Amino acid sequence: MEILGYFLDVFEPMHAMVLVVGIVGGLLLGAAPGLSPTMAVALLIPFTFYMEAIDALILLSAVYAATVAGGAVSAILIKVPGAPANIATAFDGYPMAQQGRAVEALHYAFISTAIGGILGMMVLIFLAPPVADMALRFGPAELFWVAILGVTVMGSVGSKSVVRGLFAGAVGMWISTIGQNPILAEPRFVFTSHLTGGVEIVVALIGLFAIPQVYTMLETATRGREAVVYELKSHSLWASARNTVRERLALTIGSVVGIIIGIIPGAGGQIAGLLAYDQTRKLSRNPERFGKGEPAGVIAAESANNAMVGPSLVPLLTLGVPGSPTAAVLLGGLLIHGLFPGPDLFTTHARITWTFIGALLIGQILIMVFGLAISRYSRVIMQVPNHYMAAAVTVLAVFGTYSIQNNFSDVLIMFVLGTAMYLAMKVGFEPAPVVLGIILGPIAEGAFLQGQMISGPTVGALAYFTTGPIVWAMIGLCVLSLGYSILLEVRQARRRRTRAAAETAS
Amino acid sequence: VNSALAIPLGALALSVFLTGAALYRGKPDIYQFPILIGGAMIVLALFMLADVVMRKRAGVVATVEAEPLPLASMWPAFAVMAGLSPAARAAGLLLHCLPRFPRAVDRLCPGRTLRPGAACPAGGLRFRLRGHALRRVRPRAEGPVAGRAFAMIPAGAHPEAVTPLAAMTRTAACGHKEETT
Repeated sequence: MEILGYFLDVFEPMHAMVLVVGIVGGLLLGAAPGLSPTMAVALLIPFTFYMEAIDALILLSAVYAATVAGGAVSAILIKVPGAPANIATAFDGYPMAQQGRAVEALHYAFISTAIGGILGMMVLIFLAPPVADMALRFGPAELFWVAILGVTVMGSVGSKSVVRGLFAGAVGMWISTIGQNPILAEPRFVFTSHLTGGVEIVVALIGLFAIPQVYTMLETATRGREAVVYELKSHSLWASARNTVRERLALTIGSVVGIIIGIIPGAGGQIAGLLAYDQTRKLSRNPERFGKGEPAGVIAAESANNAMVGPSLVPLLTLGVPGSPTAAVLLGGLLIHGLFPGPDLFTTHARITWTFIGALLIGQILIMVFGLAISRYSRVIMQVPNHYMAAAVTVLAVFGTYSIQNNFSDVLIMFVLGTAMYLAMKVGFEPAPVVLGIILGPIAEGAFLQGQMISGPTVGALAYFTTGPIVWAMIGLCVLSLGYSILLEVRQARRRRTRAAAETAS
Repeated sequence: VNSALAIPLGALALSVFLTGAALYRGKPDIYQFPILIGGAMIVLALFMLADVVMRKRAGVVATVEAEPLPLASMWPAFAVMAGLSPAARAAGLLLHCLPRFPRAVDRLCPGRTLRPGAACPAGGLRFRLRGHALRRVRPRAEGPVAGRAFAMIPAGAHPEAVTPLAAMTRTAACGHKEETT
């Protein structure tokens, strides 16, 4: 009852106002390519210095959750994910928008975001102690295999061929090694001073998604108006809600994957959407529909990336171990206001902590409400002619990239990566596996090097990386994931051949 | 180099270069992970190469996938790419009748003939060479940009030899027959 009372504190006028401002601002920031949740929270921290601790935390957490959700808007409307967590949303969201179903896609995105987000928050509220215990079991060996599980997904996300997807992913992992070695801090592959700091994930994300999209828009801009402006169909909100609930498989997989990835410290939420999308596609009865405007793809991706928000805070609030980069920045916000993570947070500072959690929970519903309101205006964006849209995306991409580190080198890297990706797309490569490689590379390498050092010469690296129940479970999942991707491709090729033979006969 | 081989060979060259660059630096502690990745890339590139070689031996060079390209200025680049092999050049003959922004292939077909290297009167076309082939020429309608045409080009085929094939594609994709150039 006491906790319920704290939750009701959220409705105090000041707290409620801060929450609404955080949600609306977060949705708008999230929709801008390049403004990732981590950056949005980091930018806001100085503004919270003079706020009351409770309002500061409500603002930061509302912005965190809303930017993750807001990234879906640009992913669906212009195929440029607002943050790495929204990459998978673009796979089916953008084709839906091209078919005039942008409003419907946004409905699915925001409804599934709320469902996934609420389930994730339930885990934070009711299962924090066991979840914290589980998070502690993830050492370098387990984290290394989580990264490898992500690698197995590369073959099938967004790519028509498993081998090409894996190759593109390997290129992404190689790009992630540019810069400094994570242990010895010695430079690697730094051929020019622009690469001294390596390739930032968000820079790569914007370059690989936004720049090829700009080139494509410029191509289509010359085609004439009928080619550029999509026919827009309105869609009943109730029908969208009904369809979302009907997609139980996508919702379940999305939420469960999001929760598990959120719990694992260091894995980050960025891969939750991609893993959920891939698993949903593999278990779907119609995997061939994915990538062509399948609502289940949007639902799985969006429920996953918000389901991870709650669980990613469990290790942070209970142990002081941030589960994701954004959680690390939030930790800064807590410390600034004299709140030290641990049991004290739930006893001495119970009011602040539970009001903060309550705000996040209510925030999930507000994200849906405001998100659905925003989706009405997607018509405006979809009807902007492509040459104007290309200019707008370029400006946003340049600003977004430059603002990450105030470094012009990032802008150059973005354009070089984007142009290379545009050419690679012409020969059948896709950007998603490359970005996934860039995300997973540092996780895999860091865990690999740490594991090697921990194991030492007596245990041996091989034994260290193949011992323990979680490790074997992860290895099993990796084998299953890769095997199923290959099986799916063989089946689809066989189906294509059968169809072609039938057409020849007819 | 046959255009179908260009992609896997390029991938192999890139992998060897990156692995070589890592090995050349000679610092095993720092370059351990990049070398592992480079090794994986070489294996994957060899898979891609083996796939193309096997299909080539089976008598198939490339699949041509055609779809509308609005930017006419892009055309020469693709024409050069297409000109890499006789079979690919012949494939240019197949690419004339795809609609500009089609919803149904048979409704919007402009019905013009495109010579390899020339811009499509309907607003330009592009085609991509794939390392695999389908069994027969057939139109496909998928998504909002429908009207892709696929063609199997036999190994070493002369452009003239595939003219009937081109006519067949037009018939299939446009729903009506016409003269070929």
